[in-house]
Amino acid sequence: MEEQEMGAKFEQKYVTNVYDAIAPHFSHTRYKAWPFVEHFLKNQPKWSIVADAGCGNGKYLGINPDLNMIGSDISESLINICKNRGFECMVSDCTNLPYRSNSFDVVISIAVVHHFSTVERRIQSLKELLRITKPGGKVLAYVWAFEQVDKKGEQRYKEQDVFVPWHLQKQYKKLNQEELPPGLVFDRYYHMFKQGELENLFKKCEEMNSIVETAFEKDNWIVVVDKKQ
Amino acid sequence: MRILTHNMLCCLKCDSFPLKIVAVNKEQDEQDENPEFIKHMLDRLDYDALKSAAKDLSIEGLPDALPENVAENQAALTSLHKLLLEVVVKDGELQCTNPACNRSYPIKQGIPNMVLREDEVKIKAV
Repeated sequence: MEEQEMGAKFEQKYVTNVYDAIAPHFSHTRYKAWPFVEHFLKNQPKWSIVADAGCGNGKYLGINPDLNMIGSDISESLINICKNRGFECMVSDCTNLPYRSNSFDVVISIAVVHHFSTVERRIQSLKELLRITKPGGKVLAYVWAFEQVDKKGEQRYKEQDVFVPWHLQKQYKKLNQEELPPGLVFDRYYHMFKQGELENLFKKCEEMNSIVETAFEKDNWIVVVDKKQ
Repeated sequence: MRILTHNMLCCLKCDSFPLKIVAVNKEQDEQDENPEFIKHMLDRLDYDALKSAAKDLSIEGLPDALPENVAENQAALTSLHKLLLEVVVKDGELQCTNPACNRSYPIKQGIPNMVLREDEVKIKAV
């Protein structure tokens, strides 16, 4: 099996299937917008068309009613939650987006790229974000940082590629859900990004013009880039 | 699925655009008129794809070519209002019109499923 295919299969097991199983519980904990993303979206021109690729439970889709936001996610359970909240959304894969090129004013990818298990797939996902953006348009990507520390001030993760457990609360257990993991603990795969790493991946994308802004917020790295004219 | 979303979608296998809408179940979501919104959207959307969606959904009144000042064309505004703000496709499918491809994507309860099967991912139809 090729490396890319193995990567996709690995992510199916340790990312997509996990989100499908934990969606209602996950969604219940994900209501607060990250301040940087909220500020960014509230400052885009009225009626901009925005793609939220990997939109999760859709917490950003309604944050600025003056925008036309379209969400997509590989997890059908999360997309069902978005639809029930009245948002425009679809099921799709962030390494192969179903949009025509050069069509969105702004594209955001929040807490998505850290779920890809190979460098090639991370770059592929960034290339897709840039492909669907209009020339001169902006892309914002947000990923977990390796540099995060725990309450004692010690480095939380010893390695960059880790499983982060999700403890599913009993009341969120679906009745017909088979093969639940022991103790209802699900392992989600993450690649923790080091400072500068996301910028370096963007630099491998031919359609990127420049890095507009980089920030560190609440244990995450944020990079905003613009697309070539 | 709203038509603004349809205007962005293309075939994952062969990049064909626009996709044909086959609506089995659609709804009308009544909205206040907003000519300013329509005018701004026309600057951002693909007009031929809007016409194609209107044809698929039997919404009449869209001019062949976009009028220079759409704000003064009441017939065009009425059609565009219905198309962009009111029509919601609940169930049906999106079909690729490239005869060499013919892929179709289901829409269920308003949600298009735009994921290729594993065996389709690497094969690009020309």
